Amino acid sequence: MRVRFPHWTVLAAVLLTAVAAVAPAQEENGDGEPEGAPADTTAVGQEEAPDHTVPFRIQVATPLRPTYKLTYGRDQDASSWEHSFGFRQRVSERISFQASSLISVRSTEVLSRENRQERWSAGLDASITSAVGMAVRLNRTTQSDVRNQGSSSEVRSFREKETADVSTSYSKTLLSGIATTLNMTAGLEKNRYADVQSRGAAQSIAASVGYNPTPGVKGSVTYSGRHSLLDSEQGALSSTDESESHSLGANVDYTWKTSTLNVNLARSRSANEYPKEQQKERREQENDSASVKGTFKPLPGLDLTLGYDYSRSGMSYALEPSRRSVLSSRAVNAGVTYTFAGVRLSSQLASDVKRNEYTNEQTGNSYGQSLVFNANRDFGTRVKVGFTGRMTLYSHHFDDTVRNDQDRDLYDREATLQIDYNPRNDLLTSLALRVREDQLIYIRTSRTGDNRRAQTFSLRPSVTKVFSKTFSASQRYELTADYTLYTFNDAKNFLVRNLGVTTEARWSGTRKLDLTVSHRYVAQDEGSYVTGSDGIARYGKNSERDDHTMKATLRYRLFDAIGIEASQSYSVSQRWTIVDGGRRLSWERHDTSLTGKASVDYKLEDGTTLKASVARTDRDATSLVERLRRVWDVSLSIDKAF
Amino acid sequence: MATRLATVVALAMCLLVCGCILSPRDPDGPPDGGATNWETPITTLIVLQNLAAAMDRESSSNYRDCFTEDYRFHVDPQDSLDAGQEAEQMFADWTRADEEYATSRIFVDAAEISVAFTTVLQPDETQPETCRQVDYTLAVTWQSGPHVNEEIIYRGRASLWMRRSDSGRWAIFRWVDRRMGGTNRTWGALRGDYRG
Repeated sequence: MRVRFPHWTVLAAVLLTAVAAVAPAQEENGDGEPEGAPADTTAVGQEEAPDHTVPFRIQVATPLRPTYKLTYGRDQDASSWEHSFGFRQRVSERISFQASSLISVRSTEVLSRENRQERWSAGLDASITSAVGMAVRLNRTTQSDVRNQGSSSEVRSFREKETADVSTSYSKTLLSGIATTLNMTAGLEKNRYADVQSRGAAQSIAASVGYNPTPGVKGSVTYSGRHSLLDSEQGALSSTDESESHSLGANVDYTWKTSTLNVNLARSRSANEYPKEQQKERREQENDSASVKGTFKPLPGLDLTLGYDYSRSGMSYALEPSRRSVLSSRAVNAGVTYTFAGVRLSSQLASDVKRNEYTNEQTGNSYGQSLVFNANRDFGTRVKVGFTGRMTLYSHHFDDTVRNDQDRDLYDREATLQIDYNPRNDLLTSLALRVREDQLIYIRTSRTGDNRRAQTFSLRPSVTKVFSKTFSASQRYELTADYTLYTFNDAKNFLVRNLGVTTEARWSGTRKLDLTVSHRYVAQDEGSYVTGSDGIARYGKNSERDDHTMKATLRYRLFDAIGIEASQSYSVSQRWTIVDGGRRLSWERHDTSLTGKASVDYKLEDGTTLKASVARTDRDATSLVERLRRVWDVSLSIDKAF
Repeated sequence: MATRLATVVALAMCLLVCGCILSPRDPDGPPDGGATNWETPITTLIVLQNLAAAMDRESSSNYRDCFTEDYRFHVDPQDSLDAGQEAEQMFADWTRADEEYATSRIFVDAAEISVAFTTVLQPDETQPETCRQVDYTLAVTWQSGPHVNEEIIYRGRASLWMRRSDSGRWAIFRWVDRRMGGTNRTWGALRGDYRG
């Protein structure tokens, strides 16, 4: 195993520190934290990835104050533990020591799995001058996931990463309006995952120059780069993998009276080498982007925004050239807000063109256009009216229409009218009307059999009556009709109708006692919606369904610290099929549940917090599996500051 | 006042012009092939049937319609760990657009696809959101890629969290993928191969 340490980085870091130590500085360097934190080893994309943020943030000057946090949760399927501990101690006037750890374990008994994550970190921070800082960091992160532990069918996956870094930072603002920052890090890295092991050195540098010559004009240029050289092994493969990335960005902000102009330019390039199936893979990526955005106020009450965005990204793989892609996009957007005769009007228009280049027949263009319009008006203090209209069109055009017949347009339109009317302080009413149409249009005749429109009409009135300070009641109605209309096959047309009524009463007997009772009724029917030979579309009902749900919840606060909650619900669902004009019961389902819950949220004078809750649900329902009939849900969290 | 009125009229004209720009294309003509067996998803079971039918007929839009706009896919942790350096590209922040894109690319490489679901945990469709847990078997006969002319079986267990829309349509808003016993790869791992 060879490790090539970056001589140029260390030399530069030492030189920079020496020079900066004798140079006068005018401004403190933030909190002195070095950049280039090690990459997280959390399994990417998995469910409920835990937050590894170190749970403390203590300044250098504060005395020793370790914190410990314990979290425990359990339900019928899984249990989880999380411990985190951290402290930061000032060693001398300019040096502080910090350490933290986090251990998280989640066991899922149903699937016989255990997921464990650990993160350990320790470091020394030194403030050489007010502008220059240095730090040494050690980090170790591991994650493992084990199925069927201890059995012959055990499967184990893991990932481990260890790093040791030295970093230095420099920050200075000159009276001429120029601000500079520079961060450099060099260190060693060791990785283990699947059947891959690698170790080597990594260096990174980040620099920025900001210029603020006059009020209203700001500009900055930033650069960041990273380089690593790792000796890797995977089976018979032994290779030296070199990875590097560079990104350069520039930003200009210009403000003149009430108008602003913002310009952003960025370019980045990276190349990563790593072992894959006992060969060296090299992934190369390039990104360019530019954006211009302006806001203007040409008239009192009139706001305009205009924007243009361009981006291009390309990716290629040495071992799998078929995965090469180049995606480019150009987009313009405009917005206007105006108040006229008490009506607040706003509108946004956006249009984009994307070019997607792949190595197969997925290559093509896509076009997107959207228009949104809003109007709001208050009539006195008791009536508010709002209208929203939206149109969106996405269009996919593929180059090879012979081998790829999925050219299509997706066209959505929607209009919503909302009226809130409060005739008295104790009577609140509202009405919402919504019309929506989603259209799917395949272009090629091999696909047009799927062309259809989904039309939805909905009406939602509601009323709330406040009878007294302790008692109020409300009722909400929902009526919807949902049509599916095929362009070339109207025999498949379909209609779904819904009626929903929710009635709720709430009583607050005392400041500590609260009772809510509700009932929800939903009736749904559906069937074909076919045009007859006389040209009239008729609805032929196929089935009906009724759902009733009653729920009562009682909440009480004991000793101003413990929350007690008891709730009971009962629901019944019935479905009928329509046969010869009559109803025949298809199925009937019942569901009843009783839940008791106690929770506490307590804070001591020293800042220690305790949160705990225990809930037990007993449920009886048609077709419910046994393990869901009696369920405990327990959670505990202690956050202790010593 | 006249200036304001002129501005409003100009804005209204702009909106009308913009509205005219948004006109979709006309199809080439009536179908010369069959249609996907797509039904209005008024139950969670129909969502699965639509999903299977869209895979069978390789219909990208019908497949997309099985998912909500805020859909997220969560891969099995072992699939993610085993992806090593490519886990970020393959699985991070998986949305409905990723789902549609990856599946469209699978359609290009696949000659034949069939999928079967076995329900493990029944959903509670009286609730606005519910979970239907299924074991799936996805069979793909490839026409390009590393397994040309081979039928590969992908198996796994999916917790499909579905939401009922205001008008009564169900769609998947969260897919939590888990490996099952045996050597078969999961559908989630296959998706990751085709993401980027």
